[in-house]
Amino acid sequence: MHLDNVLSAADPARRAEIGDPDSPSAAALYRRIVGTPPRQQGRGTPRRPPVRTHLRPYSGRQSARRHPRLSVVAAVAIASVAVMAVGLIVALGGSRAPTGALATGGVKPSATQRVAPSSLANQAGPVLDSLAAVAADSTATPLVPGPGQYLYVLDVELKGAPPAGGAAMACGSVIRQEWLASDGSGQQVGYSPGCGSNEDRFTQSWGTSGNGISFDYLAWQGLPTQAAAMEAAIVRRFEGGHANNAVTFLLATGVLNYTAPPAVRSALFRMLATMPGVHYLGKVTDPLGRSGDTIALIQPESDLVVIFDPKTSQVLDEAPTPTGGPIHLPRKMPPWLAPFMFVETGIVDSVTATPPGTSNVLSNLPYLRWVG
Amino acid sequence: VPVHDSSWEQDEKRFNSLYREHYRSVSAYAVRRSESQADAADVVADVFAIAWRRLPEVPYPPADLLWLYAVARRVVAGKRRSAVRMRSLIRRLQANTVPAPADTGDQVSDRVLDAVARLRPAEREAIALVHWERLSHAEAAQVLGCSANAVAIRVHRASGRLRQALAELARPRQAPPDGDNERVALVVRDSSPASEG
Repeated sequence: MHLDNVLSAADPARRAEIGDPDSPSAAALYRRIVGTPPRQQGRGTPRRPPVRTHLRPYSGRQSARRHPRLSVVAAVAIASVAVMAVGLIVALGGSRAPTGALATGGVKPSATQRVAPSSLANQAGPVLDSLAAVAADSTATPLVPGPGQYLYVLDVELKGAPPAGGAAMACGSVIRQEWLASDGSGQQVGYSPGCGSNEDRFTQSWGTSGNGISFDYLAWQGLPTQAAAMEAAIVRRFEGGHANNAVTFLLATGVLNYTAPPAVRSALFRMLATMPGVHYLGKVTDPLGRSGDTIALIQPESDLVVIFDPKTSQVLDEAPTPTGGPIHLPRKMPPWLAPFMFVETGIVDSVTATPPGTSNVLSNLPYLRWVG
Repeated sequence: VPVHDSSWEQDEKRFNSLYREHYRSVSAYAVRRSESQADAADVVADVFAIAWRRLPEVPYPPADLLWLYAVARRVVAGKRRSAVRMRSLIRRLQANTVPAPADTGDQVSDRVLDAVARLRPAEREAIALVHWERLSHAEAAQVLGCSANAVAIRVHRASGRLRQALAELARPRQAPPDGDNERVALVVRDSSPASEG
């Protein structure tokens, strides 16, 4: 018997049921990738992609008012990482194992919108290397609050009007200021200009327990400065020893802006360059008109997107959005992509103080354009 | 809101054609290299998602299928790496509680696949591309990113190892005293590689 015949007889594909491109599962996959159902062969005309209705579960104004603590920490990208990690661990199975959701799941409403595919090859490596070099050369002082000091963060969590029109999402947009002490205590003041006058402002303070969220962000200062050792250290120190790509990505990108010293930040970028699923999505301009390099972790059920300023290596925006499929970002990020935009940071001496010039920045935020 | 640019329809039309033309081939590739249908479906999904994202880089036929195979190869490799930890954990959990799964195919095929699985990875992929995907050595070389010569060498070595492994499996001590069809079927006389490129 010829070897060729033996191998052909044993071909696993002969024993498997392989559907054709018109099978329900193939059509569902196509829809998830492209956003439209596949056209029948030889007929039909290309259809425009359907309008995206929403990108992530949205609970209107409650999202800003009931969980301000979560938003605070998300803005600082420290404890939020822990919160998101828990969610992601649950959603993704808690390990780096591949998920089968993209292949087996149905069409998610959030996955219906797709834009033109990027003409960029995956340049994540070179871009992250460049960011690592910028971070290493940075002379900026890490934003570590000393005794009696606070890390101040001004961010905008944007949920613009949906593409179909209307202002149903507007109330979810929050302009938020946070003051975080090194012991975990802090205060948050939020303003939701799209909400009614009775519900457009909120304030919350918390003690060292951080509303049950305990995350020592100062621990980042002690991380290794070698990329190869970085991932293991993060997994050991912050992920309880159970590695998860999404969590590691969130941890590494979220902290880059604040407390880590230049050598650690540089190593974090170099570590990101080695992670599977990390892609460069090109230059994107956010709703504040800031342009940056977009790095994403593409996964079947969670695309995590971060925009970095190539000149400073700082995080400009985060869009930790479960889109349910690969993202093709428009060059100009529309508000409905719901980014966290980091506007201002600094070390201040009280929970009411702001860095110089902040009031001017606040007064010039074009929020009416976003929420109208 | 800038939903998509003007080239979207052209891109979609091209991707549609790519998808229709090669869905089955990519699926078969994935099935041959995955441990389960779910894993294979994952690979197919990743491959076409990457193709859509990188559509401008996808070459035109007939090289497009080779490009998809090359992507699939990397996807499979990535999934293997990430699955090692999970498989190890599952094995430990199942060690004393779950009986080994029964063979799903016929015994001969299972033994052949076992022998293929024991090949060195580079040789295994080369012989699979040539015998299962029916690529020429030159085409397989494009997928693997090596020379056609290298593919030929790998296929030759893999064939030798397979013949040896299968012959060992067919030795009389492993067969009933009177012999059976299975043993006869496993006697490999020759190799018949796919067409040269």
